[in-house]
Amino acid sequence: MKPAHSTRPGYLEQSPAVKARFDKIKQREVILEVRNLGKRFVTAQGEVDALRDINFSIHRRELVCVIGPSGCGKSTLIRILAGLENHTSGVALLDGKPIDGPGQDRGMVFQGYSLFPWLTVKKNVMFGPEMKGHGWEQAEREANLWLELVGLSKFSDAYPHQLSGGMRQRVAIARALVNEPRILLMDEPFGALDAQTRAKMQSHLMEIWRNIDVTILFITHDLDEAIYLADRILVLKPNPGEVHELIEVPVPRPRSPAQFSSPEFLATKARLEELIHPAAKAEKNEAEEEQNGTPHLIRFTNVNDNVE
Amino acid sequence: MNTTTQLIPSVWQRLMALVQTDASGESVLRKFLGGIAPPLMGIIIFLGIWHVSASGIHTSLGTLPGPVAVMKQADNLYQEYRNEQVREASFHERQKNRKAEFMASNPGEEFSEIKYTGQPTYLDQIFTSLYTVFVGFMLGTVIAVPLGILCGLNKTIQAALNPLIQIFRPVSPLAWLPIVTLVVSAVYISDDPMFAKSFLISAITVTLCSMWPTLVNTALGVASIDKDLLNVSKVLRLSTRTKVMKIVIPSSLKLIFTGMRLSLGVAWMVLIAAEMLAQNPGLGKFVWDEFQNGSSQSLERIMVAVFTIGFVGFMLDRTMHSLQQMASFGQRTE
Ligand SMILES: Nc1ncnc2c1ncn2[C@@H]1O[C@H](COP(=O)(O)OP(=O)(O)OP(=O)(O)O)[C@@H](O)[C@H]1O
Ligand SMILES: [Mg+2]
Repeated sequence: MKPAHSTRPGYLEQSPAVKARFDKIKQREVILEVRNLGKRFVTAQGEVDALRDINFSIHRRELVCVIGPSGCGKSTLIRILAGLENHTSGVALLDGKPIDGPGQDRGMVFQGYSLFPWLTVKKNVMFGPEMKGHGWEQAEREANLWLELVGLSKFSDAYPHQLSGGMRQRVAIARALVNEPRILLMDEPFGALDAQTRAKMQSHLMEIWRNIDVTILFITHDLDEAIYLADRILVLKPNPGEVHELIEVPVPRPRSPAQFSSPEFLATKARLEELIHPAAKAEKNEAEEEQNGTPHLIRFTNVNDNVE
Repeated sequence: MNTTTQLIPSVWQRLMALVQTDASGESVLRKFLGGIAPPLMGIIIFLGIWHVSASGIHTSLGTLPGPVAVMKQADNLYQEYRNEQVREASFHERQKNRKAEFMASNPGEEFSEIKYTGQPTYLDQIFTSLYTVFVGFMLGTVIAVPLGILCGLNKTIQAALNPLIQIFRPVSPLAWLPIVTLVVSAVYISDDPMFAKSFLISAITVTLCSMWPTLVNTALGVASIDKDLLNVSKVLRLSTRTKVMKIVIPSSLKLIFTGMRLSLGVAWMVLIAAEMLAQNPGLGKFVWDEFQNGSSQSLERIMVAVFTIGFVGFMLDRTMHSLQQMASFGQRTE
């Protein structure tokens, strides 16, 4: 049966409520602005354009996801924004000031948690404030506050190795947020988690994001995750890494897992698939056809002794 | 039945618990025996072979002693230590009395005390050895850990030091000793030396031979820190000093301790040879002296020393293993 395209709104169609929301977001101040950003790696094999001519901006309290095939430069982009890597052309502005080098105004959450295994959960979170020169008591108060927000007060004296992956990532989020960054940069933070934990963490992240004044740039390669979380999705294409499209997600907020099958969600997903896996889709169809044409299986059994 | 019997299991209940099966379906008692029986068996077989074959080996110092003779000699050495203690106590008693008499007859004058100089007993020698190895090992650690951190942090320093490490690492203590002896004799000149020369020579030789595993493992540990942990320090804009103290050292602690454990093993092994040649009054000198003495008991005494050296080495290794365990934060170590 053919999918009924006509009954679905295209991913560009927005309900009045969604449209009003985007209008409101666009009125807010710009936190991060990236203009003609480029990155060229010089390696022994020659020069690689990891990123070329990237343009986008993120408004205050917006949640933007970056998606794209492996090697399209997602990590490179976020590392440049974090100041861990230099860019080779263009500018990246945080609150209008050019980014050069790392700083506490940007919080970073890595895929591998990167907690300090020798410190308890609370001391991990206290690390930033203490290094900033806040006293022990203030640092502890701040840590307790953020641990409560991520729901880990009970585990504040546990060590990271005693926690599950999801809990560790929550500690990592608390540790990034305790420094009160302007923007939270997350590089595939839930990539190492199982599906169930991942779903929980997504709801959890949105809950946190709703409650506090923070802007989030979130890298993922999971289409559902991107649509579920994002206000807008920045789609990159590889070789060289360029902006394919910046999609405004038409799924209304507040989001819930029930929306995974809503028409807006499916339309957006179809568009993302089209952008990211055009070749893969064609291959899949071919493979299916071949299977239907000639069954390869040989039966080593009597036709009458079916197991089913 | 009163409450006490319910809370505290009777002897019978405890015994029954031993034959009860645990989760793996084996009885606790059998599991315990299964753990202890093979090593016990190994020791018994070893003692048997030793006992039988020793009586057939005739050396210039008499027949090779068997386990029983060695055991007796160990007891003998312990008795010598006890006797020496008694002698020292009585010496101090006598000196105290003399002092009292002296003070009574010449009030206000200084009494010149005589220091007790008894023979060093076997236990004294063990402690001298432990002290020497500890000083040598600590000196090595104090040099090797900072060097290792520098190597791990900086590729250039690593490249500069690597050939030196590779060349010096395999050098035997016997080769170092003459050099160390000459250098110490030339440099360490003092009217009232804080340390005996023989002690310094032994300790420094231990340092030179044992510091390499710590150096290599520290460098490895520092070089293999999770890059994201270092990124955390960059995001917080930590100074190099803070970075090293708060992130680099804690995260490479496990490998530093692994290196130190290997180093201590080497140090203890090297020490005996160093003491033999430098005549530092420890176990090595004890063995050497007994060998030179050539009395009928010498072989027995040397064998006691062999077992002592082995046992102390084993205990040192266990201690370092516990430290290593503490530094590994939940990961298992071998
Ligand atoms: N340090 C480097 N030196 C040379 N080339 C690099 C370096 N880091 C990344 N690259 C190249 O830049 C490109 C983008 O890499 P990047 O890690 O940003 O991709 P990604 O989108 O994060 O991929 P993934 O989804 O697998 O994480 C790749 O082609 C990669 O080989
Ligand atoms: Mg990546």
